[in-house]
Amino acid sequence: MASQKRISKELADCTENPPQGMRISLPNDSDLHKWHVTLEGPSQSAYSGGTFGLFVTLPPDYPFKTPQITFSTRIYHPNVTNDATGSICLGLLKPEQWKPATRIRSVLEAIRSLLVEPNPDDPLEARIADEYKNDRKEFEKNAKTYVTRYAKGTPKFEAVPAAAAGGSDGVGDSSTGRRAN
Amino acid sequence: MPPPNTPEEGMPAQGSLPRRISGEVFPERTRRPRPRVPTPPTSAPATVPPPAPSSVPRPPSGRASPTSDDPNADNILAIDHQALEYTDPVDETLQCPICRTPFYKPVTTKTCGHTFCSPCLHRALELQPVCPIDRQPIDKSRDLGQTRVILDQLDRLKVKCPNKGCDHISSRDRLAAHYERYCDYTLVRCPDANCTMAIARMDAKPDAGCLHKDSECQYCNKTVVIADLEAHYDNDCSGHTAKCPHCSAIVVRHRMEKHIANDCPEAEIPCKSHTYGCPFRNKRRLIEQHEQNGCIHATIGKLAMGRLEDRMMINDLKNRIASLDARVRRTEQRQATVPSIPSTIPGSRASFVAGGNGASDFIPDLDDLRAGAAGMAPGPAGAGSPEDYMLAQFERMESQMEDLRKMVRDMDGHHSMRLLNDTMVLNDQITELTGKVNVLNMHTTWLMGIQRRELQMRAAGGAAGGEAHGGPRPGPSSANPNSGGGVSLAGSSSADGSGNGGGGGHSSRERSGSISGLSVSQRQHQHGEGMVPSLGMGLGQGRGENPPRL
Ligand SMILES: [Zn+2]
Ligand SMILES: [Zn+2]
Ligand SMILES: [Zn+2]
Ligand SMILES: [Zn+2]
Ligand SMILES: [Zn+2]
Ligand SMILES: [Zn+2]
Ligand SMILES: [Zn+2]
Repeated sequence: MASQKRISKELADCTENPPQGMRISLPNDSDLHKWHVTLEGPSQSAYSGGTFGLFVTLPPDYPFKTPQITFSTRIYHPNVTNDATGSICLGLLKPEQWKPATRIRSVLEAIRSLLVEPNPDDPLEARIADEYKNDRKEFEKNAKTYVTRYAKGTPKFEAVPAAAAGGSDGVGDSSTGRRAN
Repeated sequence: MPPPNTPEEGMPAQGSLPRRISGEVFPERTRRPRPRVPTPPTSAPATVPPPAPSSVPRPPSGRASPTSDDPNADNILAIDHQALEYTDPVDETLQCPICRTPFYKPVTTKTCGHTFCSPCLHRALELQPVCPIDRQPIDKSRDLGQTRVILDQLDRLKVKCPNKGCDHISSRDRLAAHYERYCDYTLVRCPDANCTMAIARMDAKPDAGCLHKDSECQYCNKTVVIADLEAHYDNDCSGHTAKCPHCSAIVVRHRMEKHIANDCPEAEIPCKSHTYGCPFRNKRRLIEQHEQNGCIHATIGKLAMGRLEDRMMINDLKNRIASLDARVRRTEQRQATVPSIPSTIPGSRASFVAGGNGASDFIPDLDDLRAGAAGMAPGPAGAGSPEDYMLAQFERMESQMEDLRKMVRDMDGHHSMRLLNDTMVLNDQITELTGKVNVLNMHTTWLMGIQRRELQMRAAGGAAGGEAHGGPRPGPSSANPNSGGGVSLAGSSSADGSGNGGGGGHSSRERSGSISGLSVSQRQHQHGEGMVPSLGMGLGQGRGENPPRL
């Protein structure tokens, strides 16, 4: 299958030369389609000092279909659902904007820069986005509280995120659902 | 203890490649490659499972062979080009950004110049008709082409034969021939006409009959199809391992001989250079040391080998010189007999030409040949026989043909490249010219409008003198019947030229469209009729009258 060689190459790239502040591991050695990523909160962000887990799920027809990436660690962020599913809103990852030539590394790097610079104009959590825009101090305080509460120590990868199981449009669904509220 | 997994994907654990001779290869090939990277550092070798045969359920002795539905196919599996192994690292520029393997049937987009494997690109286009790199729209019936340079480079890449157990290496364009026609390990139909299963070509001997029969394993009493025995020994034989008497390693029993002969570090072997007189004989690991430290006999061996090769090459060259010599001699002999002929030629040729039939010009040549051949026939040693001559001629023509074919192919590539380059420039120029023409159109219209107005004003004379300033002027874009010719021109030019020709704006908007570096700005005036283009070409101003403004 076309994707196998590419995935193993990408995995090799990412393990031998990991993206900044990240560690990649496989929960199950025989399944290249599920990755666990441990992401250090960038030092120049409100998430500094936290360690976040990311689930990466590559669909069977990756790279033609979008990879699904969710936070396994709760995070206070305008573009991440404030619940256990941890869905992320990122342009690169939207099915209608996905480019098959894009590598997972670039997606992961984009997620890391989303922590440094949230995008409140395309939010999943409208309230947090408002707070980010209008009351930065309060936002940073809340974000740090979440870090202390959820993102200390080695991240857990236990919860199977609903969005990842729900298919490629999981992210889109939850985003529209939330914006309608 | 089974040998630990090598991290190399798809490679069997030891040096001994398990040879598979039945349909068993199918599940093996489609099996997911074991992850290359994450070798769990903590797990002791003892806990590492043997090369995961159980991870994929085996089909019942491969009886569901894909051959069954195509009785004509001698070979069963097409080469999986994306799984090929290359002997050298392949340059990143020759790899498909989608599957990240060297391009297979590469296609290049004409719009943005990106290259992909044809299957990869078409799969991507099925989902979205845009370039998978930059999302430029792609029409696959129009926008795809091939690049000769890339194809040539790909053809030269060296690849390993995808069959397990085969060490054959060839350039990529020759691989198919090896795999489909010559490789002993390629699976072909069982020679038994009643059997629909596949078997390696080397085992498919008519006299051996069908190997897809049950037999009992000599180690574990399990019933196994003969063709699958090898795989059984390697994977799921319960009595399949034994301790090596030399090094106490646990080895697949069936491979013990091979282990001792090739791998066992404790087995006693002679130095590799014993054929060159090295008396050293010891355990393999010590021999390896000895060889690494530089066995003198190995150096001698190398020299001897070199000499042998030289000798062979010299012999080869000698043979070739001899055959060339013979050929030269033959030609000389023939030439010696030829001079008698020319006297007959001019006459015959002249008579043909005189006959006025240009097409039959060739016939005298044939006559010459015949005459020459006849003259040569009694020559010494029969070297110049007509057949020989014709054959030589034929060979020459064939090689010329080959040269021509190559030239045509090169020309073709060259030509399409030139064509592409040229048309691109031409296209640009055409767009630019269209822009200029549009601008000129607008000018003409505008100037005509002015002229017409002047005429009208002059005609109206002093009678309605006051109206000329305050009243609405008949502009080119108004539907004034008096300015009939100008209307259509102005209409088309404004639409083409500005690119967003939404008309009728009543606000004093200013629009500017850029046509190939030539900027056009239009002012639309309050009353809508007086649309006056003002441009950087200085035509309007030449008239001494500036665009009217309100
Ligand atoms: Zn492109
Ligand atoms: Zn490809
Ligand atoms: Zn082969
Ligand atoms: Zn058979
Ligand atoms: Zn057995
Ligand atoms: Zn041994
Ligand atoms: Zn020696």
